[in-house]
Amino acid sequence: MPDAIPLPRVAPETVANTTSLLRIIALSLISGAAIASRLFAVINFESIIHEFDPWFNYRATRVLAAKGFYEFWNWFDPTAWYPLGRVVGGTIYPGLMATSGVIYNILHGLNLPVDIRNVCVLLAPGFSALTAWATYMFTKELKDASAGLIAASFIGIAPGYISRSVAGSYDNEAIAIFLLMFTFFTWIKALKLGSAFFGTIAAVFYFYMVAAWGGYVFITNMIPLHALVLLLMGRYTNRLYVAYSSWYAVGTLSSMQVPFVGFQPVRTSEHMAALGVFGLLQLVAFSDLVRSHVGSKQFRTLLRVALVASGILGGAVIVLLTLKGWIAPWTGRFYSLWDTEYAKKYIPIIASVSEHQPTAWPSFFMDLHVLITIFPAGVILCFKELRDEHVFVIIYAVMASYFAGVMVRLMLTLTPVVCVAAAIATSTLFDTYLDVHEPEDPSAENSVPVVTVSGESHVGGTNVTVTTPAPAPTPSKKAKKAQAQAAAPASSIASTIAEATGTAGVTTRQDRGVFGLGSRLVVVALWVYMLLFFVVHSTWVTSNAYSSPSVVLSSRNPDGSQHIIDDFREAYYWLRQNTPEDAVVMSWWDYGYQIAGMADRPTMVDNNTWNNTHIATVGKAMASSEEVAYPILRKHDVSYVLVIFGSLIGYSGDDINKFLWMIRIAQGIWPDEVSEPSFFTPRGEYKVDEQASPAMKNSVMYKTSYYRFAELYGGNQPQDRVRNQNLPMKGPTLDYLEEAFTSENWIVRIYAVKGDDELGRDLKVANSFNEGKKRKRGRPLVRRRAVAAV
Amino acid sequence: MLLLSLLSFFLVPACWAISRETAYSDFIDAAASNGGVIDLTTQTFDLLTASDREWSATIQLTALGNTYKCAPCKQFEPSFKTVAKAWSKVAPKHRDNHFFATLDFANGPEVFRRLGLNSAPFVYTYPAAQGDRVPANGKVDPIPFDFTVSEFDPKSFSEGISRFTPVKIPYKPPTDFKPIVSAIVAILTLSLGYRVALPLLLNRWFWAILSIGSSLIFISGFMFVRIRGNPYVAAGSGGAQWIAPGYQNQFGMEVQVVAFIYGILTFSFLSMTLFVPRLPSKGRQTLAVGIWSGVTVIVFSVLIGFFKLKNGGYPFRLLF
Repeated sequence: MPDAIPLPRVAPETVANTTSLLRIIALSLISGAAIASRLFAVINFESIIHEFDPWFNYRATRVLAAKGFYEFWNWFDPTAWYPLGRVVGGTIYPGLMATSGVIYNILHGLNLPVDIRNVCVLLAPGFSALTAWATYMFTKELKDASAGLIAASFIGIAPGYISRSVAGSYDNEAIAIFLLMFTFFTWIKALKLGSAFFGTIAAVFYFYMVAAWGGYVFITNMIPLHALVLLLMGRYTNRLYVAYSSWYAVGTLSSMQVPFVGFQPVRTSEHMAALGVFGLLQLVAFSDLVRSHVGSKQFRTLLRVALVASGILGGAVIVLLTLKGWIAPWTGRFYSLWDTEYAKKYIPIIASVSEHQPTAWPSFFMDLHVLITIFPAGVILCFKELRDEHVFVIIYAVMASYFAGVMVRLMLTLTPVVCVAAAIATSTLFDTYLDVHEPEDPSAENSVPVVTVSGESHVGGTNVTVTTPAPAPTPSKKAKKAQAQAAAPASSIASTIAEATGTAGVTTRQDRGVFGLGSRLVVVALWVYMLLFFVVHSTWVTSNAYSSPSVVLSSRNPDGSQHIIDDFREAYYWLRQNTPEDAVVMSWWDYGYQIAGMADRPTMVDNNTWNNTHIATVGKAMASSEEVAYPILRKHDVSYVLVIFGSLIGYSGDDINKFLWMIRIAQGIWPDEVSEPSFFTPRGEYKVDEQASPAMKNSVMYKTSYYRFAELYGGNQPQDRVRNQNLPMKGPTLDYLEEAFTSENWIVRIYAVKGDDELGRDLKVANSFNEGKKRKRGRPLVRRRAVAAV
Repeated sequence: MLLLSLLSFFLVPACWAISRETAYSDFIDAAASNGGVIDLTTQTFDLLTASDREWSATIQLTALGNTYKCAPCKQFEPSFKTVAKAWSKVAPKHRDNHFFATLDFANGPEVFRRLGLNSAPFVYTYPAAQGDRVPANGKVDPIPFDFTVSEFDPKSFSEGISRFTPVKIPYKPPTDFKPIVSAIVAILTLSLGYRVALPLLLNRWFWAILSIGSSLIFISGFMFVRIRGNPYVAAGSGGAQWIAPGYQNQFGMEVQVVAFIYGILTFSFLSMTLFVPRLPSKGRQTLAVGIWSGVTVIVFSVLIGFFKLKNGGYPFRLLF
């Protein structure tokens, strides 16, 4: 049994100590890398809350930090969904806010006066370090510590996870992925040991997950599915029974304590799989028990029939209850995962969200890069081993690939399993090629084919990579030496084991292995290079694609320097400082949370899209002509209308591009008054230029967007830079609204809703009367200047 | 002169009344004789949509002639017929208040010109303009059926039109025998081929191929193409184009190509990990390592190149 490189002998204790030290160092470096790469957003911009939902979370956390948990729990927010208001405490997942509240209080208890905003901004990077650790623990259960370290480093920098956990992205997913991985780890641990203790810990973290993210349903169905598949594979054990029962009982009871979830675990279809498998397990356990005590064959047959019958009966009861309406059917958001046409037809509001769109392949590659190409190999390796925990990874891989394909945002749940599977694959590769043992010369013997995979070769391989946390072996002498030293302990341990187990190890080792140094160097160098490529790719993606706060935009000046576009905050602060505190602002729901968070003004609709009719009302107001919209606005006490307009600088996420969804949602409620086809040209095109349909040109959205836009061009052809169309030379006029504020780059435009005319005339009539006068006297000064100067 | 105008003054309403009554019964007969669908010409179209109609009508404006090459027209035609047929089963007192009619371009190009239609098919519903079935909001203008929200299938069409009919259209989709038949076939095959199927179902590699296959398809954007209904390839300048422009878009063929690329990369990885160490001689191992490393590098470079096509701003490359 020759070695590829002669190894120095090292005492086993030294090996063990060094590996654990190296492991700790590697894990802390991985944590550091995970946190650091998420700080691009802070460095490139500033410590600011991102996007839309995080603004609400931040606002809620501020309430929690300022007034305490009890007040937060009973918080009724009268300024949201004006005039309906929102019961916040009962309609949110409080886990995120509670977490930052606890951190905030601990820091203040230690006399560290940290601002709550910084706690919120940095929560996601902090938890990503914990995710890396949880992934390490999870993968360690599947293969070994070296695979765990590789998995941790993958998840630490994989763009698929970074996209939702950069600093400032203060959303539920920030802590949820850690909870997901940790719950899965404890479940595997509980299953392996048959331990009620770990089952209960899994349940506790499951509870935390339920309190933190609506995606907990993924766990609620993954664990039962795993249990069910194990049952079908004939792998029922008492360990499974103990683990599942303790998880389900404790987890379900505790999850019902979250007010937003309440009785859903026993009343909705999403949770029925867990309940069904729980019942099934009891039956199987009972039959198992009886079988071990009763010998009679007839009785066993009878028992089996009785069990099958009661199983079918239980299933029928669930179906009956669903039909009777006692168990709510799948809710829209989850149902649309299976029936992908459903949302488009019946709940356009779900279909309209960009993160609910299906995923095209470039997104997968962008988010996972080389990992996605070796992830199937990892799954195959799981099939090779196929212990209970590998079955879990296989199910997880298939389910998560499907979900990520249906919805872009669920890429987040796919990323951990891709990292784990890719780590198993990579680690197996390195095990094979860093193992210094060479097989016997084939010419010496016609080797007897030995089919079994030896346990020894695995143990041996394990230690090799543990001691070499993925070095970059360049063909320099120094590196070779390092590799040799690192690989050294393996041989000693392997030989120790081989001695202990007799000659078995020796015979099985002979027919597997790599000859010579050349092959080793080629393969190891290739894959180290690929992984370095992945690191470079991830860093590039993170800094370029995923670190934009979307509240602040950036562009490049002609000389390449960064130009910050800060229109949103400019406009929101204008609202904050120039309008009365109770002035209701109407905008499309995307901007509700931001207005509430930054401008502190009541909004009609926001990103918590619970009331479709109210949203449709806003859509109708935007899509109707001014005469129709004005009564709606007045009835809802709206003082200001806010629209986002990107035509000047080419900001494509503006309201005209979202307009079709507003029309569609309004049409869902008022099919007679708003009709989508009337907004298209006769040729069926969506146009804003001269040929735009009358409905389009008269809509409040069109008018408020393009009002006075043509004047900017001073008689030249005005142009829409987002839609690349030439606009009419004469822009729209307004009768019932007046321009109050337009931001620097025209992205945010705010209009005041006019009050009643002093003489009681219709505002349109009054305006045309004034216009008639104007022609004689000449144009009065534009009011917008005066207001904007305040 | 005066007499003439006086005469016409008296006669016109009379003619109207007569023509409307006869037209109404004609429409009922025409509908009954043709499976619920009235075939229109320009003249009958004007009668059916006369401004004093007491009935409502759903009119399909289509171009079925082979010269027009209107594929969607032919696609939609059966749905329209099925729904009209379903409507003809309604009790006469409701049925005779709403008509289904079709106007082919060949029979009434004037109507198309008048309505300013350059394409087909269109479906307009004309609400009753007189009598007690006038819509509550008083709008009697034709209402186009929105094909952008609903598809061509009869179910969504009947649901969409039911808003305008006196009673709901009693359309029931035909029982879908496909799942039932395939379930029976599956059970039969399983029970007959039990001896063959059982080892297969108990074989882990069978399941491995199944799950890897589905994973590969899903991560190559299969669901995207399915949900968006994107074509396999699209006609572009200079022949078929199989790469969809843009980062968040793709065609059906891309699914296959990308899944194939991932498959090759996975296989070469597995070869290096599992198969190479089993080769019994040094020479063969070196050769295999060389081949699979080369395959990995080349195919991955192709993949990166492909990705650069989709995402123009991507700065990295491997070989080319």
